[in-house]
Amino acid sequence: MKSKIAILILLFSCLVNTSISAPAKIDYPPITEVILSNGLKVMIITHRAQPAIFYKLIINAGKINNPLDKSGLSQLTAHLLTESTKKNSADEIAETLAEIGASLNVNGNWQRTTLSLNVLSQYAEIGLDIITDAVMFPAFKPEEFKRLKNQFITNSKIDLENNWTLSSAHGNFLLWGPKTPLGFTRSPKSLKKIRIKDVKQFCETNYTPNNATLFVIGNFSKNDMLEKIKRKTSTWQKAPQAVQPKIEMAINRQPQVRVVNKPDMTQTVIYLNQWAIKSNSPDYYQYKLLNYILGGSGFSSRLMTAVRCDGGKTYGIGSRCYLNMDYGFLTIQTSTRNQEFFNTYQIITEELKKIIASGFTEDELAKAKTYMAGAIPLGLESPGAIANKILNGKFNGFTIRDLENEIISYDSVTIEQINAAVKKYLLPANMNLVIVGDIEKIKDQLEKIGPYKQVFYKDELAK
Amino acid sequence: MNKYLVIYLLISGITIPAIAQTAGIQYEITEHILNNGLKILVLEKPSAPVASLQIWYNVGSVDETKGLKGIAHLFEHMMFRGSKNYGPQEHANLIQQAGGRWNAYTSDEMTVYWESVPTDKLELALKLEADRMESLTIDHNTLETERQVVMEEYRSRIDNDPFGSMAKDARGYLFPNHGYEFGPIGKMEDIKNFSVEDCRNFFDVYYVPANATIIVAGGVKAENVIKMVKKEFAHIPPGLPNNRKPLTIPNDYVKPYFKGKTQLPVPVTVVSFYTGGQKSRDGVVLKLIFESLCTGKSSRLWKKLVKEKKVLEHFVGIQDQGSDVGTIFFGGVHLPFMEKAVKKNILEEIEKIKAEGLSEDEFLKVKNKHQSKMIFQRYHSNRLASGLGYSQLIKGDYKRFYEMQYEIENITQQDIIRVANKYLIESNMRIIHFEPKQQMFIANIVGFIKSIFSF
Repeated sequence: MKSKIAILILLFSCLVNTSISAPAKIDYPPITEVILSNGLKVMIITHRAQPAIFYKLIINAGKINNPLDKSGLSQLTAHLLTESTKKNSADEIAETLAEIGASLNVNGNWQRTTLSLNVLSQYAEIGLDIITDAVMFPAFKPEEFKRLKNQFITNSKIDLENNWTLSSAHGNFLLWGPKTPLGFTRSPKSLKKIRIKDVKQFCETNYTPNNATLFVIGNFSKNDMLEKIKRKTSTWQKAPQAVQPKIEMAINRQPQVRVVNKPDMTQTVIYLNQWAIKSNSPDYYQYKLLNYILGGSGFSSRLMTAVRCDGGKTYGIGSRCYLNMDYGFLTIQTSTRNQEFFNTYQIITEELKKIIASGFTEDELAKAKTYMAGAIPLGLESPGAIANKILNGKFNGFTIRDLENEIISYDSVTIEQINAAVKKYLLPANMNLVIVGDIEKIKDQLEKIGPYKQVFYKDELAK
Repeated sequence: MNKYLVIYLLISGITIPAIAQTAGIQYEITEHILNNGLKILVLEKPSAPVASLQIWYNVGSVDETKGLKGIAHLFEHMMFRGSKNYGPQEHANLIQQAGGRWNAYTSDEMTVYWESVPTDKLELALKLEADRMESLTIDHNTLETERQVVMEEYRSRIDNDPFGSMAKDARGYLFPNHGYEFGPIGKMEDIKNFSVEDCRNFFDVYYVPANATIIVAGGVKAENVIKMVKKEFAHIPPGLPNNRKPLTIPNDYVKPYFKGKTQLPVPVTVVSFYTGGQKSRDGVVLKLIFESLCTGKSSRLWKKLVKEKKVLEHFVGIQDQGSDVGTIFFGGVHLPFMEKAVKKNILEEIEKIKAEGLSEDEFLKVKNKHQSKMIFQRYHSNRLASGLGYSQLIKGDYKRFYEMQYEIENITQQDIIRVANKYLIESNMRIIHFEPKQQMFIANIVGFIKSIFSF
């Protein structure tokens, strides 16, 4: 009898242990979500670790809202918001920010533009003033427009000398094609076409409260903060909701090979991309793990092992997946010495074939899962990181509950599921290939790649 | 103080210097030295889910002898290629499996390895670090692979990056036959010729407990950390600390002007000054001067060069301070023929500081900026660990991490004027100019016309 009890206790303790080591839920702090009468979405979280506040004001407009021939308009508009407002000059704003030790940053992506401001709690009101004034009362002074536009033009010329940026720009063009702003990258030509009236119009159309979210996290009283926000934004008038351009993945475009000739390079950049799944796909977690094992995990990844660790062919190689509500794609990027260009390309394609033929191993999957289980909570050390996680999740269609269960979701992926995803989505025949290099030095190797289109690195993307 | 802020402060009743009142909270730091000379610094950040482990080796590119330029940086790579109990890449793989992050970097005067892991995985990270400090695998195959990788890094960062290429030229000009001449990336010819023996010798001399500082910051208890470090590291033979001779400024034999070529489509002009380093208290004063001149759109030089005079399209200020020697760079990209105007306007502002010092507002801005930075970095265990490591190795004492606040508070106008007149002088000044390899006809005309009206 005693031994039976002992066995039962042992069994029970095993169950308890199992449940202890089971993937954990992540606790997110409670969020107060309010939609104000003018349509502005407000999300507030208190986080009392330090006497500081993080404001994030997100406008649902980005590159996708640019006219086809005016690439750079959304970014230029966003950066002009950090200059003068109708209430204060750019100098006054810059002085204030410096005096209170705060910083205002603008970040524009394909679908959204974000203004971020970090400030100490004691200057909560000043910080809120600055970030809301920027979108409510932009001055768009001609001299500031001219200076910033010139800077953007110079930057776009300098971008042509950055081989990785250059390969991504051509890769995006091959993937998206010429019928959507997402296929284009700002260039001196596109920027020169932008007039101040374009900026004003972009702002009037898109920078409206009912097209925006204000996220605040930090050390403050929730009710006070909400009242302050209501007061500050009460005159921000609701506007007719602009029709958001539809994003369509050009999945029927034939994959292409493009060689971008850039003389005098001692290295060749290899860039591949292809369509992937959207964030609402049931295969989302499989795909994220697929990318992690393929090329998203640094030294642990298949590509890094094959190309760098075993082959010594590159300083770095990685894959990235961009999985959003409206689109998804995968990229692989590396650079190598000219004489090893084709060998490196071959190692990449062989590795892809190997993965497709044999799949990933149980061990690889298990390691990827344990990484996620540890890394996700570690990534939430600061309020800024918590804000980003929640906002990215929200914009990609995830609820807080989904985020809480993220580790559990990763953990539930089976080896069969991930390998099925490999076969379904990792399709080398569908990949676009961009090669940036000195064509004279890699001519012989290029012949082994097959047919390709050759362009000069200073040419427009659509040439 | 600007009118916007004055109005707000009048209404709210807040006074700006109040930042100091909130910045008083400091995390506890414990120092312990093992018998073999390994220094341990633990910063307890209660309730953090993370432990940030950093090992700072007191070795960098300044310690490389002739023919071995780049070997310190090579070790940043070799250290991930296995040790007695772990295979190649296993270190990185195990950290990632634990959900952690890792990386390493090399500078002129130090090499740093770091891991950020869940607090319960700190022991694993320490075990891995101890194993490679004690028994790194250095063999022909490993060296050959990593040599190729480092050469790829060189091509990527220097040969095929216009900014890297300009930085290499500027170093070569400013620091000929000096420890800073090549920087961590080293010399391609040397990298090609490192031998296994070179690597073993370098490792045996510098990768020893007496030449290292372990820093742990995060949700840990100092007592436990010290116990764990002892367990993993106490048996490793001490070796010797790096007895580096203080570096000096090479201003007596470097010509005053350098002209080079760049792949960029625009000219670049930089006015640079040799300065003192971080060990000296003057280093903090220089930082204050630098920030007033360069940081943000309220800084003197940005306002003057970009906004008012429009002689620069982009302004960049860089302050690069080692322990004993530093450099300050003011400059940016501009239209052709604007080089003289750029120099003239930069020097005018510097002369003003030498004569009058900083304004009250400038003092306030720099002080408050530092205070808020101290508060914001408290969120991040890794940044706190980096701050401690930097203070220990470059400034000479980890205690200066928190003392910086008081050092800045105590800087007077006399300090500013004295230090500006000590370092920002003609004998320390060097002008660096890069012309585009490919001339642009229209830009030349526009620049020429503009240059006529810039004086």
